[in-house]
Amino acid sequence: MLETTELVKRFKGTYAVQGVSLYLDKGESVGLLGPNGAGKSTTISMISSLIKPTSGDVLLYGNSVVKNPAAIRKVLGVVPQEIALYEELTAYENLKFFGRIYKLKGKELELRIQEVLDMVGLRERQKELVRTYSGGMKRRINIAAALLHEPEIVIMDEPTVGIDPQSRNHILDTVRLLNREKGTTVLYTSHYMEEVEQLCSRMYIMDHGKVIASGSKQELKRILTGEDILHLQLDGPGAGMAGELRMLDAVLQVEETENGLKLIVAKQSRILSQVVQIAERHQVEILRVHVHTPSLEDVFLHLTGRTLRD
Amino acid sequence: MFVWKDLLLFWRDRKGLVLLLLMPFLMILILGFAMKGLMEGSPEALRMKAALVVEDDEASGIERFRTELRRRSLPEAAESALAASAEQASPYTLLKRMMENEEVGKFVEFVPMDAETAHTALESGEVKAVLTVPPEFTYKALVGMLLGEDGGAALRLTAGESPVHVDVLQGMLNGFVRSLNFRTALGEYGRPDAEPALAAGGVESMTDAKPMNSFLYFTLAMSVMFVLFVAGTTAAKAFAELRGRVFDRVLLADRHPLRFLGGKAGAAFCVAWLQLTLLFVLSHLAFGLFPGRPFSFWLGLSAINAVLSIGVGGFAALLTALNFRFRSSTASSMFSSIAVTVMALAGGSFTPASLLPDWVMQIGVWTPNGLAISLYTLWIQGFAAVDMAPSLLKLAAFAVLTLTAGIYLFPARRRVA
Ligand SMILES: Nc1ncnc2c1ncn2[C@@H]1O[C@H](COP(=O)(O)OP(=O)(O)OP(=O)(O)O)[C@@H](O)[C@H]1O
Ligand SMILES: [Mg+2]
Repeated sequence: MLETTELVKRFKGTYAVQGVSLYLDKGESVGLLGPNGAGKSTTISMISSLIKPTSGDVLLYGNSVVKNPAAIRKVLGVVPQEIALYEELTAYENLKFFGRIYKLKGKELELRIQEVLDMVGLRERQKELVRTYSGGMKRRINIAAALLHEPEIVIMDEPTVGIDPQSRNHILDTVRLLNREKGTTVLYTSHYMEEVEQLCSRMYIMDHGKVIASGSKQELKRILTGEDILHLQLDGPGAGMAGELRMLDAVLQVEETENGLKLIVAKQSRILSQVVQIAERHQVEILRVHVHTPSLEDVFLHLTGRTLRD
Repeated sequence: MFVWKDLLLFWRDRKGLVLLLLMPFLMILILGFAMKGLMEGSPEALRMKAALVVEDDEASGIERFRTELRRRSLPEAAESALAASAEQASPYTLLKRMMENEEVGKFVEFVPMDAETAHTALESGEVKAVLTVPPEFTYKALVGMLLGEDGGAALRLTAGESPVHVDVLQGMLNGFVRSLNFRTALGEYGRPDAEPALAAGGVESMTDAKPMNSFLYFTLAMSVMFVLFVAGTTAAKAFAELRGRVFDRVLLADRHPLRFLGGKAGAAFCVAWLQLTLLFVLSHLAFGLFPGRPFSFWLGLSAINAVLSIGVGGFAALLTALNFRFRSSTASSMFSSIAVTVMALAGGSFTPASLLPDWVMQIGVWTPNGLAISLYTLWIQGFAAVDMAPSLLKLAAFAVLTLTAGIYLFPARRRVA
C-alpha cells in the first residue's frame, strides 16, 4: 500500500538519504534498522510528507504523496523520535489538543483519548503534567498521541530509546496489539535488533543513507550462512592482535568485546591454529573459544562493520 | 483549539505570568511613588506666581457680541440661545474659574497687575510669567466659540527663564484655549448654516484638564510597554513548538500552518487584552485612578485595549513567522530585549513624550505603545472619538501590516528543510 521509490534527500551538499526504496504491505509490521545518522528519520520525514525529497517519490496506493500530502496525512500516524508533547499540559490536555487537530470532537474524542491511554497504560495518570512524567511515560504518551485518529499506518521512530524496561515492554505490547489485533500497518525504527526481531516480519537495514539489506529474519541470516562466529575470551587486551587478525584472508570482521574479541570468519576455514599463533606472538592467552551461528546483530556487523549502537 | 491550547500554556507558565502581570504592576507602584512628587508637583517645588494683566473688558465684549448677533438677523430662537450662552459661558469667567481651580492653584498663583507693574515684576523675578488677556478677548472668543468663525480665543503668555514652570502653565493655558475653541461645537446648533468647523486644537473638556497623576501615567506607560512582551513571549513559545517537533504534529494532522499562526495571533490578542484590562483594574483599585467613572468609560478603555491587543497579535504573528523562517528564536528575543526598549523609550513609556526631543517624538507617535498612550490620554481626558480616529487608524494599520507581513513570511505547508 505504501512504497518509496529511490528517495534522495540532500542537505546542503551532504546526502542524508541516497536512493531508498522500500514498501509496506497492508497489515505488515516492518522494521527499519540502522546506526546513528543512517538516514532513518530523514526517510520517515519524507514518507510522512514533512520534508520534500530531493528526488524520488512516495506512493500511497500508487498516488504520489509528494504531490498530494493530504492523502497520506489522513491515514498515517507518526511517532516522532523526539518527545513532541507540551510539557506544561497534562497528558489528557495534550491528547485532547492533538485529537482536535485531527478533527475529533465531543464524545468520540473523549472515547478515543481514554482508549489510547488504556493502550499505553497511563489512564490513571492522565491528569498529571507531562513534565512530571518519567522518560518512559513521556514516550508512551508520545505514542498515544499518534494513535488518536486510528491511523491505518503507524510509523514509529525509535520509540524505545532511553527508557526503563517496564515502559519498553509496554510499548512493545502496544505495537503488537496494534499490528496483530487492529491490523495496523507498522513501520518500526530501532537500534535494538531484539525488538525488531520480535515485532517485525520483515526489515530493512540502512547505513549511510542506503538500504544495505532487507528481507525476513531468515533471509537476512542466510547472508551469513557461509560464516562462523568466533568468540575469543582473552586474559588481556585484544586490540594489539586485532590488526594482524584482520590481515588473514579468512577473517571477515574483527570486533573487540568486553573480555576479548569477536571474529566473523569463513566457514571451515581452519584458522584456529593461526589465531593461536598470533595470540602467542602478542603474549595474550586465549582462555576460551566459542563458535556460534550468527544472529541478526552479527548480520548487521557484517554488513556495516559497526554495531547498531556504536 | 489552537487559541485554547496557547492560553492554557500561558496559564501554566507561572514565571511568564509574573513577568506579564506582577512586574508591570510593581513598576507602576515603584515609579508611581518615586515620581509622585515630581509629576504632581509637590506644590512647593513647582508653585509659581504669575501676573495677570487684563486688557479686556468682559461686559463690553459680551455687549458687542450681542450687537453682532442682532446685526446678523438670525432666527429669533437661535439669537436668544446664543446670547444666553454668551452670558453663561463668558470666556473670561471660564478663565477665572480655571485659575481658581484647586488643582491649578497648586501650581500658580495669579496676581492681578497692570501691564507696567507686571513687566517690572517679571524682570525682577517676582513673577515667573505674565498672562495677558488681550483687548477684545471676550468678543473674539465668543465669535469663535459660538459662531464658529476664525479668530477665537487667544491669550498671551510672557515668560522669564525657568522653563519647567512655564511649560506647565503653558500646557494648562493651551488646554484651556483649546477647550474654549471647542465650544464652537456647542454653538453649531444655533447657526442656521451650520458647518462642521472645529477650531484647531480639538476637543477637550475643561474639568479634566488637570495634570496627570503619576500612578495614572505609569499605569499607561508600563501597561503599553509590558503588553509588547506578550508578542515576544508568544513567538518564543511558538518556536519552542517548532523545535520540540510539536509543530510537526500540526502539519501531520494536515492543518494549514496559517491556522497555527492565527492561533498565535489570537492567543497573543487574548493575553494582551486580559493583561491590559487587569492592569488597569488593579491599578484603579490600588491607586483610585478613575474615581466615579461610568461604565461607558471602562468600555471605552477596554476597546482601546482591544485595538492595542490586535496590534500585539500582529506583532506575535510577525515574530512567529520570522522565527520559523529563520529557524531561530533570534527575532523574538531581539524584539523582547531591544525593540521593546526602543519603542518604550520613543513611545514615552519612561518619560512623558512631551519631554522627549522632537525627533524621538516623531518616531514615538508611530510606535504602537506611543499611539496607545495618546489614545488612552485622549479618552481619559474626555476627547471625542473623532479626535482619537487618527491614532486609532494608525494603530489598526499597524496591526494589519504586521499580520499581513506575518502571513506572507510564514513558511507554508511543509517544514522548511
Ligand atoms: N535538517 C538537516 N540539515 C542537515 N543535515 C541533516 C538534517 N537532518 C538530518 N541531517 C543529517 O542527515 C543524516 C541522517 O540523519 P537522520 O536523522 O535521518 O539519521 P537517523 O538514522 O535517524 O539517526 P538516529 O539513529 O541518530 O536518529 C545525518 O548525518 C544528519 O546529520
Ligand atoms: Mg533518527
